[in-house]
Amino acid sequence: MVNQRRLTRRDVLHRSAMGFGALALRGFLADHAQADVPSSSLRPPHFAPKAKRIVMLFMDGGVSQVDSFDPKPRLTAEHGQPFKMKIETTQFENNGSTFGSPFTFKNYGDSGMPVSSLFPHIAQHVDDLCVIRSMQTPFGEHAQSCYMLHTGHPLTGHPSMGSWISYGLGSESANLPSYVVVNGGQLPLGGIANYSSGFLPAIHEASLFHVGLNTPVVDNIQPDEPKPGQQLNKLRFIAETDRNFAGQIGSGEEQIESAIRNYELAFAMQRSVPEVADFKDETPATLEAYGCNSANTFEARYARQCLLARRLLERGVRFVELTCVGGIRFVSPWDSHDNIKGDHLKNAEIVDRPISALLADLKHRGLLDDTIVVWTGEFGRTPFAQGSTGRDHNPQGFSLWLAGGGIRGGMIHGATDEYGYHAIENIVTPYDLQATLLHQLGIDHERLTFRFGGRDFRLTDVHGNVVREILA
Amino acid sequence: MQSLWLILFSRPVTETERDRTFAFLKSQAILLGIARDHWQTDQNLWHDLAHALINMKEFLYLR
Repeated sequence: MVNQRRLTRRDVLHRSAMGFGALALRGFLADHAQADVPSSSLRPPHFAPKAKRIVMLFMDGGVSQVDSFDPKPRLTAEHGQPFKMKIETTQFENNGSTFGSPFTFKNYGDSGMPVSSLFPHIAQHVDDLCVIRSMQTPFGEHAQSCYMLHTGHPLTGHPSMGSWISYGLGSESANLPSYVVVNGGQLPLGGIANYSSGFLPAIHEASLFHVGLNTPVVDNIQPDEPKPGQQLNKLRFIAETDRNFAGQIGSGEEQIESAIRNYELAFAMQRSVPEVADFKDETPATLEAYGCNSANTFEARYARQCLLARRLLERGVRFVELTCVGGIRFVSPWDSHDNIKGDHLKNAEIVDRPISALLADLKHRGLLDDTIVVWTGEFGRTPFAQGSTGRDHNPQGFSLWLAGGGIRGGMIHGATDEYGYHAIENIVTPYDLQATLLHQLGIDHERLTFRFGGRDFRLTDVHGNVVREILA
Repeated sequence: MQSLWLILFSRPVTETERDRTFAFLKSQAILLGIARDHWQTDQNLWHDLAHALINMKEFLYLR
């Protein structure tokens, strides 16, 4: 399925032409193929990779660590009492008492890893999960923290991790983008800039596939032109003129090249996307396992996102991110300020079964060996109440889990204090997470650079250490 | 065509561009099955040209 040999641009175009037979957009561009290596042909990694692709399940708004993967009996014991540690500034400064988890924990698998009653399905896979309990991020506000996780910087304008990976390794698919966001309808705060290519060539920008309940994933993918060839003739005319233009200008050829290549990719996607988004070759058992037919329409939608993600990964897309389903909350679905019990449960019931099915499916198909699944929010939630039944933002300590792609399973890394408030042992920052993910893909995060505005930039800025303890 | 170039690109059309554009119009007209005496007035044909022109990178991006 995925070719390991290093491909040249000519090879990629050749392969795309073979795949499409007569449908040869290649024809109007191949003659102009340039000697320099274009940004999206395959590039060799720095060293042998353990993983080839990543799927990131973004739990937008921030999941409570003490209600999911980091049980704290002391919170239950002191429930309702004044919180005994110094309280850092919170978002709403409406801090209540110590708040024991309303959910119960059980140990699962051979590893005996505790998981709360929020995730009974994901819990079946604990022996494949590496839970990091010592995540810490510098920012307690959504957009900044989302940017931090995605781009390594708290402000807009920097390239997203998926863009860096696309830039570093190129695309394995001639007919699909290397970075796809499968959007269930709720973009995280900070918006589309979380998925931006920033100052990297625009070919590395995420492509957003919108998954509705019964709608095609990309609504505007079909050409408007009624006659076959009508659109291709226009594209050929545009490409010729653009090449001419790119040759005339003194700088900015890279941007023009990217724009031309994006048109080329869009053309190829008119064929590839309807195929990848059509689930008719999936068995009823698979659709059922993911929850595609669920009466809970939020869950059914997330199930379709998960299934589409697997189909994209199978076809060589390097980085797939799933957003949350729209309509759960006005923004940041996991952001349970008012009612942790009801709102966290509602969110968990939407994602638990689809994610569990995705893990099982990837494993069954042998894809989990070289695919990293990342499950994380932008921060955690306070171990004391906001008001009396909610929890506020907690950047000082939170949990995430990774699976597959050479990450050790059945493992817990790091720890928070006895209240689950601050990460205190083996602290892992977003930079460390990014460095580790790149490492598994065969990229040295310190060597993946891009010169912009007079200096070299990295995804991890001047930070980041590979978390070697969690590598298999 | 001269006025299209002035509006879109703020410069006169070059000879190469004029030739390329005529070639495009001709091939597109044949593809669309437009009779020769309608080439100057057919809306679909000029619609396609305008659509292509506003997608030119010279129009979309500042130098």
